[in-house]
Amino acid sequence: MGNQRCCLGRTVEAFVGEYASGKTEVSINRALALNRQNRRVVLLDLDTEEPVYTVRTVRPLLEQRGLEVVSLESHMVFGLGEAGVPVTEEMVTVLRLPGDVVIDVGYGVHGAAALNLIDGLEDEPSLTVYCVINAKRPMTSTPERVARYLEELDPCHKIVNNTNLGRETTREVILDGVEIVTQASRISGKPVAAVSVDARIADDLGLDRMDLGAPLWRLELFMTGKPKL
Amino acid sequence: MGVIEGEKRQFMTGNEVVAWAALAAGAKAMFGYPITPQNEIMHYWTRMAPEYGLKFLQTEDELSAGFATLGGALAGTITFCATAGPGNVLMQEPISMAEMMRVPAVWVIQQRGGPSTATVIYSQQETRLTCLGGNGEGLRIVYSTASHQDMFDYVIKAFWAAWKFRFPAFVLGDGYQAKMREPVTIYDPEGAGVELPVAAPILKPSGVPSVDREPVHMRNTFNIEEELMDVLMEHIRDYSEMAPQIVESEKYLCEDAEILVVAHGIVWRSAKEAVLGLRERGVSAGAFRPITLRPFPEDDLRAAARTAELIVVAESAYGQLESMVRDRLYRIQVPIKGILKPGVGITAEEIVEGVTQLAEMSRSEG
Repeated sequence: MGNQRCCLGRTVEAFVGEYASGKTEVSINRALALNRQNRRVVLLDLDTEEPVYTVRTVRPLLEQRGLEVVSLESHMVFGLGEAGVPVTEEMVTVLRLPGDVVIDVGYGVHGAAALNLIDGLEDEPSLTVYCVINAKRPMTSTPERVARYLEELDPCHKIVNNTNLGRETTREVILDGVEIVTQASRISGKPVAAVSVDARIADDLGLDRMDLGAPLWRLELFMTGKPKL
Repeated sequence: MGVIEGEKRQFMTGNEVVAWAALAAGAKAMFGYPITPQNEIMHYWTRMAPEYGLKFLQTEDELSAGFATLGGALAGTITFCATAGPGNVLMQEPISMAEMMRVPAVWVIQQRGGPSTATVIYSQQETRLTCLGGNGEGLRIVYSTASHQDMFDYVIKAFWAAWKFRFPAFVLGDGYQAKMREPVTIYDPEGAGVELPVAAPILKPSGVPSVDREPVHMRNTFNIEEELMDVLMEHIRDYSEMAPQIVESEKYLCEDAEILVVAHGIVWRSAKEAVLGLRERGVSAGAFRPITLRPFPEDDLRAAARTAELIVVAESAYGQLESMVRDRLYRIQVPIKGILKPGVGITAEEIVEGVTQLAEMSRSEG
């Protein structure tokens, strides 16, 4: 199809991972970071698992920041999504839009399976699938558990280490996460692409001066429950 | 050593906390039927099952899930069940049987909107049902949680209480607590000196009946009225004797409170914040939270209301907690008002606003 022709040099990234690991915050921030490089960016909300804590809820704010957001409208979602979630044509054909595409995927193996619905994704040469890991989540709290999880979620190309305890995140929490995820990376052979941290906490802890073994992605938090508009 | 080594701070959703707490308490089997917003309790239990040798059975409906839970307990296994809304309604029959036959078991309720299917999201509308449902006298223990830490602590405590006193025990949460995520300390209860349930086969203990031990004869059906009443009065006496060992409550700045806000569950968080907001406005407010809704901490409530000139009950239901409070404060010479929002969350700002208006009304009523 015309994907490659229309979008040579584009970036396509999908963020998968465990329930409440921080996929949405990381996706939003990744899309904004690409946008800051004067690139045209489409952010796709593909959470078909529990479409409540999703990009959709902060869509106007993201559009104001210059992102193109493809998502459901709130009236199309019933309850917490347990009765099924519609997927629109706009979502399925997102790769036909020009520019970079960042995809926020629902949690777990089933969430990741929704990537199969995206037309042309399997042939997309620039696709990178990141698995977001919070090593303070019990199911991904040891190197072995993380490595096993990465295997379950295959295909996943790289790891984003998003270890945190919310507002209680300390230096020790970040360093614990670096140790666990680095070991998991060794076991699984998947590289750590970044360590993502709430920007305010990263500043407080002076993380930009520390060796985290991977680049620091500073996150501006959007899913705080308090309206930003 | 327990399944959790020492203690550790984790970032979790409420439903996951329940599954881990049940595991830490020594539960070995869960029976259930899917219903939002408790589903992830089952999901996490089944994810943990292979690693920890746990059992799970999804039955054909909630009635079966409830009875299967009792069956597990009768066989000597520490069992539990989780449900919500219409599922909680259906489970009242097995729960009544647990009350009648004194079968221990733990139920976790993540309240959703009602009546009927309503919303899958949140409410406090299962308060009355959970405390007094079924065709009996409400001989059950109900803990109402306000945080993930409560969830972990009180799920473990519910197992202990159910097996110690042989009454069904509930942990009453809600959809917000089920789904929201916050840090929580999970720990090995034994290492922390927390009492754990001790289970043994109830229906078929070891030994030969009538030789080594009395035969076990468990009944939920009786031939004549007086026979039933004799048995029930014994249960009611046991329940009354248990109550002082079980009741729990929390007070917040009540010592000089002219206005007392009463709230349970997640609304308690807003109530505490509202008290600070009211005090900033020069209103001496305090807050009271029943942690056990059954048995109800009525002495604690009366003590907390000692200096109150107005009592305001805030709840995401239309008067379910309020009627309990009225009942327990019978003859108190203080107006009791409600901030009642069935099926909807309540913020601290709404309580501050509501209390201010109610206080004005109460003054003009004089």
